[in-house]
Amino acid sequence: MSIEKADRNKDLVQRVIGVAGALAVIVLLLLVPSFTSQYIVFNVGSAVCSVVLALSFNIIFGYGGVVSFGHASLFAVGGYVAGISLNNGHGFWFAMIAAGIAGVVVGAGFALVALRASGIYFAIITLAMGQIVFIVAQQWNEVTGGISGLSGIDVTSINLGVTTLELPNADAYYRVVVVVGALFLGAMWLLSRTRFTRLLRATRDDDVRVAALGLNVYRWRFVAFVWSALFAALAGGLYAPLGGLVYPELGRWDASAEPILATLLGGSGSFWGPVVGAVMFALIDFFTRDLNSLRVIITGVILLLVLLVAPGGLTGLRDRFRRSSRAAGVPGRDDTKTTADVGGTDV
Amino acid sequence: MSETPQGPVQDVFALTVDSVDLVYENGFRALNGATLEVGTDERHALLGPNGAGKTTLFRAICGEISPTAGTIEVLGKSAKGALPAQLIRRGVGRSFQIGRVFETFTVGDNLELAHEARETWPGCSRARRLRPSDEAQAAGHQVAIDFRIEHIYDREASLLSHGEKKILELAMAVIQQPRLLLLDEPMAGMSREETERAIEVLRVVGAERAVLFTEHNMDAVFALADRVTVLARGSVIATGTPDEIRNDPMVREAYLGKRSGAGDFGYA
Repeated sequence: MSIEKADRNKDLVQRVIGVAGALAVIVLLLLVPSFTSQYIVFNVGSAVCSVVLALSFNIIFGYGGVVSFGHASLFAVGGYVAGISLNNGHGFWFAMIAAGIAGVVVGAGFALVALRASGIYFAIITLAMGQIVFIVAQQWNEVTGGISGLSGIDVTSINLGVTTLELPNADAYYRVVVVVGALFLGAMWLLSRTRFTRLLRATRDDDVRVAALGLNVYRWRFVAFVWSALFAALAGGLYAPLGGLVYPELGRWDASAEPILATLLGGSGSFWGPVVGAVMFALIDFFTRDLNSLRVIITGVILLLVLLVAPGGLTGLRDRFRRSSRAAGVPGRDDTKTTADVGGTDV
Repeated sequence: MSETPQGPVQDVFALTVDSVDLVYENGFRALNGATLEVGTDERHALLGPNGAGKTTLFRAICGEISPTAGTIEVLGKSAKGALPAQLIRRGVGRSFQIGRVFETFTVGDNLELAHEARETWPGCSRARRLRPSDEAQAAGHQVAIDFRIEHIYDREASLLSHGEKKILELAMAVIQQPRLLLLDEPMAGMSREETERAIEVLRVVGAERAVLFTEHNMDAVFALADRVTVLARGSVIATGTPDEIRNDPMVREAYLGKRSGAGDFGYA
């Protein structure tokens, strides 16, 4: 019992450290505008949105084990819907809720069609559906602004119920992005701790086995996809007023590669993997911004190196280190190993 | 843990397989008029040489493949058109020939997952629960003690021996409180010690539910089974008590071939 208590204390300490660390990061991010240029502020803001997008992608990929190649299009849907709402005089909350609803509806449509297939076919269908969103955004001039996109998206004030928060400049909206992005991140963290996610991770390990436990795997994946689409669209909605501009390429297939690569870079196994990956990705992007096409090569080489050295991503590397140090302290498992013949399965 | 989704059992048989034919797409006739019945509290062994159709019959009962002809009734209702997961929710528990567990989860997590999966079944009062459930944790610990795997509760399943995986799999099925348990070679690949433990566990587990199992280990079959059905080339050639089967000349010929000695079924 005392061991259990010690464990609980350790958990508590870890949790306190975690919350304190998260708060410190948020405060640091809020301070960014006071010591850097507006250009960097914009880049940090879009990195926050990328983190939310990567985390949303990880719900279906990291936990669900299903690769979607059209995830950026859901981000774009959220961006456009929020942009159109704001440009038509609606408030920030209206825009965000509309973006979320649009994400759920479009995501449910994606899932309905794509989940009929599995594996690579699922991936290709999501790619095709993402491209449909891209083409619609590109062609539907009256609503989306066509090729040049939708500009002038701005949030000047946010109604907080008791008071109204005035946003006089871009830095102020950047701070909103940090706080609301952190809320989304927190919501996804809570989601990652649910029984739903645990069972979802089991479907990733072995979907036939989960079905043999009586779980409706299709329903589980469907719900996971919709959750994933919701947060992707919310990330897009949050992003739209940041630069004031949304354009079709936000949803193109190459944009969908970004959350995938970020997740692989950081590690899909843990909650923080995509966060680390998206931040890394943003950093690489920022520091190679003047190198033109060389940046693609540099990004590629870094990715290749990480995936070769640490197939589980950067957080996977940490887990591996932890596990090996734990295993060193544990007596061998030979005592429980059977010497019996372990072959001999006929089908 | 005592609620059963379908209410009290009224049928005499947990499973009836009636004149089932199963012809694979390549024309191979795996089952040919297979017929058997398993009582609601019966431990029934299914024997037969390799290729006799045991695994095919199992897969048909589980809803993975559908029979070409004949009927299968599982827990009082036809299994026709039912998906594997639906049959599980009806009250079937199953294990796979290779111990199939969630490798990246711990033993405890595997048990809790099985319980939590059950909690999501329609009609369960805990279906809408968000947090990992305390009930699952309690049930997991209890089953681990019953199955004597509590010492490896926190071990990752990928580190288990083959026999441990099979015991864990059995525990995962039992934690769902099935009324019909289908076990495909539950002792295959187990050490002698593990086999003895499994027999003991199965005796307890099988006392309160129907069990249909295939097994090559004859000691285990005769220690556990109330009745035995022998399958050869897709057809049932004999059904009876273990003693009757042991002395059945047809069984000896079909199953044991020429190298029979009393009670020795020549398992390789």
